[in-house]
Amino acid sequence: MTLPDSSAFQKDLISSIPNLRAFANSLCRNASTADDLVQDTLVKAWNNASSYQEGTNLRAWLFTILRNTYFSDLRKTIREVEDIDGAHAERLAVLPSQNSHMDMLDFRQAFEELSDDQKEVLVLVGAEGFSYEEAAEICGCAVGTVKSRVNRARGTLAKKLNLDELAIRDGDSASVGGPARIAERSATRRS
Amino acid sequence: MHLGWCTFVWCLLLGLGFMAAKDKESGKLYPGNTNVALPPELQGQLGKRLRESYSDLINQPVPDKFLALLEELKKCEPTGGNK
Repeated sequence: MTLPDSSAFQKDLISSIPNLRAFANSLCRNASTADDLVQDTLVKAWNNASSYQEGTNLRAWLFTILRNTYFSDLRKTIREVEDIDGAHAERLAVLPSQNSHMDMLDFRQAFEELSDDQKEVLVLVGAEGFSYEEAAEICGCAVGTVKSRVNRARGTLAKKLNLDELAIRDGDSASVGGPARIAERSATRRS
Repeated sequence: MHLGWCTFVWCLLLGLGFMAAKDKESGKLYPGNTNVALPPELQGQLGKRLRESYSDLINQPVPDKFLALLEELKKCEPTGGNK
């Protein structure tokens, strides 16, 4: 078992922090819990560096640690879920307002109402661009489970945002790109 | 003769079973299932909003405490086990 070079490993961890925080903030209901989660993840990653295989996807490895920590903490302290409304509103207010027009606020609110299971797969596949297979590995579940969670999450969002009326015109499928679709296509190709 | 017929039916059933398993495996979704994939256009719209929202999170500045934590960690070499 070789340990990664500590300087290089440290540098790679630093460059992953923005993604880890974004993922943590997608799961946690307040920013300070999210930051605690990222800190725990970094410490665990450092302490288990030998189980990371160099050359493999570091971000996937870190995301696995983060979500496992999140779900095991959640099981331990269900009460955390109580703190919510105020803290969450505060977090939204703190976000830089680049995209914070009404649509975006509506979207965030709808996203917030998804289950944790759905949030994590939607972020992994739709925002981080992981393939369904990679997402399944990160979440420790079957590829089919990831697919159905993604579909359900999208369906719920569409309904909450009243986008589902659009679904009636079954559009021309050629026009849409983006990481989610690309991941989907590559997943299909590989299977 | 009777045995041949039985074997034929058996093979047919086996074949059908295989096909069903294959469909399930490929995750193909059928109308009527609550788990239906949305039209691509709609998926695209949702994906766009998700990525915009997520990129706001990614673009937040990293607080110094994380860099300080990694500096602290670096004082002890990365280890093999969390004991």
